Amino acid sequence: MDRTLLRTLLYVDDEPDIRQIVQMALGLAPGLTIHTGDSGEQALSLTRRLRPDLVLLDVMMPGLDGPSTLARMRAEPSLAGFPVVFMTAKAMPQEVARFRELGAAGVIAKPFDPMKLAEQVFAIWEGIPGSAARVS
Amino acid sequence: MTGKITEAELREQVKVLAAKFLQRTASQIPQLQNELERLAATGDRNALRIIQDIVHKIHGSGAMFGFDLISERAGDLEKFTTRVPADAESTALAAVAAPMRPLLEGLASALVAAERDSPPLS
Repeated sequence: MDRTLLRTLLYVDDEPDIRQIVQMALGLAPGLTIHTGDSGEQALSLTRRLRPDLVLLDVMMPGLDGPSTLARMRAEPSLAGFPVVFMTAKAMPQEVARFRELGAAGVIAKPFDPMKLAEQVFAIWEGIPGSAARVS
Repeated sequence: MTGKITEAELREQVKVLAAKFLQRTASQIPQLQNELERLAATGDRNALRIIQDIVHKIHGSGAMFGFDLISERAGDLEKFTTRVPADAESTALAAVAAPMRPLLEGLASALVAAERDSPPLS
């Protein structure tokens, strides 16, 4: 069975501080390359160009927010298959359920613990059909 | 960026970013006050948009760095700005500045308290 390792990830958030923390926090995971963007529009263009294994999207962004970005991805055949995880301060059960209905592979609550973020991301990744557990 | 950081380095980096966040937020308070006064004087929606953008970031980053009161007060301001109708005209926009002033003062006070409790950036 052909299973994919998590090697490249795109994180998109309009808040520079949080982008930097996520980038550093995921830097704890060996072998993972992290790209970042600051808007929903960038999420679309960077996903087209970089073809990351996983896309992490902030929910509340000005302009194209996380859910709208995901809807655009699902409507575009070349982007429809990319797994998307939302990061949000709105992580109440009914909101998480709504995000899952929209097609999110998982939801990570903000604020998050930078020391545990990589573990959370990999736990979600390993639950995605076709993904492989880490080798390390 | 590929994983090359240790947990100790990450903790230290987060502390540095938190201190920078406080410094930046302090520098944004006068900007918020100026935009609020501009909103009161002109009813310019762009002033409201600038305020909304700044407090949205303070709200999110403040929570991330554990500055809960700053985040909460910025969140109060953000919520207020999002309740202003999208089709409000300049007179109505100018009128929302007055109830925003105490919210901004609350944010400034929360910042002062956080600065008092946090060590300065070395």
